[in-house]
Amino acid sequence: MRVIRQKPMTLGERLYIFEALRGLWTTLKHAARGLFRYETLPTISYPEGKPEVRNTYRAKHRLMLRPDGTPRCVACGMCAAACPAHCIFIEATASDDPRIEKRVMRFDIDHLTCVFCGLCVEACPVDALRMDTKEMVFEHRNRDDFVAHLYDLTNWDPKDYPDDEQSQVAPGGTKNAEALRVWGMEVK
Amino acid sequence: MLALIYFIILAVIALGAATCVLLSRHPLYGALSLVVSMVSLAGIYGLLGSPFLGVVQVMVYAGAIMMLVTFVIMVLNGARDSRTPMFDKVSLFIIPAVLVLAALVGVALVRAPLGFDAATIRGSVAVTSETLFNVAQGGPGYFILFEVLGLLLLSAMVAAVLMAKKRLGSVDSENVEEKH
Amino acid sequence: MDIIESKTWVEWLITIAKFAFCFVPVLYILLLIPMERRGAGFMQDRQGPNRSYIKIPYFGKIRLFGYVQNMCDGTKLFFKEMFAPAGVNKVLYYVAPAIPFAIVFLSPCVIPWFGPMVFEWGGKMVRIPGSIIDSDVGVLLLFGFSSLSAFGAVLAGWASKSKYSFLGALRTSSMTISYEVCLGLSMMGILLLAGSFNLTDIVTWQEHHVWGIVAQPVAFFCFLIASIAETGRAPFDVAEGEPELVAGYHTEYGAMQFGLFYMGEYSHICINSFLIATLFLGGYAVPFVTTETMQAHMGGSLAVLCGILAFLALAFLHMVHRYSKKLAATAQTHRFEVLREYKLYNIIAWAAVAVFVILGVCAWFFYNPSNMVVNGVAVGSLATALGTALIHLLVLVVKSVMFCWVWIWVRWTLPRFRYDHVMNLGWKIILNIALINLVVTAVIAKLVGGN
Repeated sequence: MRVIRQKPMTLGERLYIFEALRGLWTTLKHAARGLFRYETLPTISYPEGKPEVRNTYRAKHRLMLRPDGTPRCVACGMCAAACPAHCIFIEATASDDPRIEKRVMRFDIDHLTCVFCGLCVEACPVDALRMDTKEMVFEHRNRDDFVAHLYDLTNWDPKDYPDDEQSQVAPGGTKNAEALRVWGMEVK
Repeated sequence: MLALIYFIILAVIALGAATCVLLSRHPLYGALSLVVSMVSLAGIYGLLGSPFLGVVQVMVYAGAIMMLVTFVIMVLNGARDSRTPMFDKVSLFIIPAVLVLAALVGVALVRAPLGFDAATIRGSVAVTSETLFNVAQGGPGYFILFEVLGLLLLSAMVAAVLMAKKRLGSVDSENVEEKH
Repeated sequence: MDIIESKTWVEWLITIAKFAFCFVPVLYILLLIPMERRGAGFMQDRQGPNRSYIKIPYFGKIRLFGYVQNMCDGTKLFFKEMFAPAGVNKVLYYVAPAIPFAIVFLSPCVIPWFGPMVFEWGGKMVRIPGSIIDSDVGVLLLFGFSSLSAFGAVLAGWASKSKYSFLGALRTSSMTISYEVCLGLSMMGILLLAGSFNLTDIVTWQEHHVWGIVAQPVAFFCFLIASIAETGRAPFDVAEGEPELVAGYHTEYGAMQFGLFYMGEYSHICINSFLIATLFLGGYAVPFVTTETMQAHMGGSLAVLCGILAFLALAFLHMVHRYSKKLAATAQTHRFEVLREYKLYNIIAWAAVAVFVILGVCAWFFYNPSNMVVNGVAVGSLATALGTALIHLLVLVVKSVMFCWVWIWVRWTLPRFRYDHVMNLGWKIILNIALINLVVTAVIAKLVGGN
């Protein structure tokens, strides 16, 4: 056990009044800044002005897409197993594509239960699940709407992720045509 | 005329509140009635041309002392909702005593030569202090008496503190604490 | 009818008009609450409440820099249902909040709002004191009232029949008793120097000698601390300390009953800051300028006053301009709405500047009331007296607002004291310092040779 001894207070500190005056000076400086330099306050008035969200922020999930527009998810269930909040529900079905064994039929994420830990993203073996949508506001009329279904998760626009190569592969992206060709080539 | 009307109003309030002190069954109501009575008394002092006395009445009695009394009532068991009976054995002695006292004061008031005119007597700060402390006029006045009184109060306070400390430290009080 | 005929109609008018000053503490609430909220926000680098608005047809939203928030809160408190929890003592429960609030209207009576108005009317010299009651015992009356107002808290705590309220009431009563003593004793030094209980006399003494804060710096600090403690605000708000007692004596109160306590507290702050300004900061006296000089150059004084007001309006304009420039550069979706509102303020402020400048120039050139001689004494006219009273009143208001700010400032800076620390500070430190200060003052005053 480590014992931390507090430094004994000096006389000036024990008298309290001088330290109190020092504290008053600090708050006065801040108050003067608010009054005379109101525009320098760091507050963002929220619904009107949006804060800058960084790429690494763990926001709402999305499912990555193959060049042909099907979700990349192979329905392995790793994310559901990794999820500490048990908020991911996956139903698999046989895939039409002979190269792929399973495809996902139902992929629900309950955002009321989700703790946004990001473990599902780490667990995904095929990089199908990401949390980089920067959507951090969840507001709906009823509880059911908070559950994101497969359609919500795959319904994103590659134009919103211009720097991400993997996103550009999806239909509508800049590299989609090329990727589609490669994808088709491997099939035949 | 105006002064008389004010006096009657204030006197009625003061007397009514004083009666309430006697009749109220809960000590806190008694204390509150006493406050009302004292404030209206202060008003009467003001009417008589001695605002200083009135203000001191409000400040010391109605403010500080009655606040202390309320404090004590609330801390002690009086604050519980147990209602004390209006009359008990002690009343046998107290009621005659009150009556006799009232008679005495009444007789004294009636017999005393109340040759005082509210317009001339000004109980202001200057007059009060001159009456009390002016040594040059007519002997020592009340100066020494005042100081002695201060000493008396001080010694009483010290004694009270000493007694309280003794009670706190003794084995007796500790046992009592445990019993509760 | 002798009473009515003893004064001229002008005297009666002014005497009755002075009763309007009874409402000053209540009006100060309107100033203090936004000051407290925005001030607290600024000290914590927040913006404070600024979102509520009034929608005006054909114009848009008016936010008044967050002032609307206080109207909303007031309206909410006012229209909430008054209720009494089961088991309370109904009568006392309903009476208790009214006591501090009623006393609020009495306390301003003794504060001198302006110097005694001396002017000539109908060939006679008229003198009207600046306070509503020009009494020998001015300060004491104020103390009497303020000690009575603690009964509200005590009764509320007792009537609520709740342990938390009860403890809060006990703490309030004990704190009131102890800090009244400190308050009275620390004030005695300046009373000794001025030789009077009358607040007008005290201000006159300060006008002719030095301000109380220079003559009695130690007493000033003791008085300030004791009066902050007496209003029961942080860091001395043990009576309603949230971590220990839910909200102290007003735990069981809601709606306007709570509102009355709230307003009573703020009015108490207002009265105490007026008292401090009067006792220690020269009251209505204008710094560095005597009343005689001011009255001799009445037009010039008013012109200077108008100049200061115009400068304040310009400073406000500058602030609005800077903020709107910043706002226009951002991508906030409501910026046009806000900027339109700011444009309105711009127009109003420019109009105010113009009005003040014109008024100042007019006062400089045309407002030069001459003195008259009554019974061999030079006496100013009613116009001079009114101008002086106006300047005095504004100066007093500025000083008191400064002290109100001290209350808010201290509250949002210092953490709450523990209850026993509060008592120790009161009885063992401030009381003794005040006593020593009184003795030293008395000795020095006797040596220097006053009264």
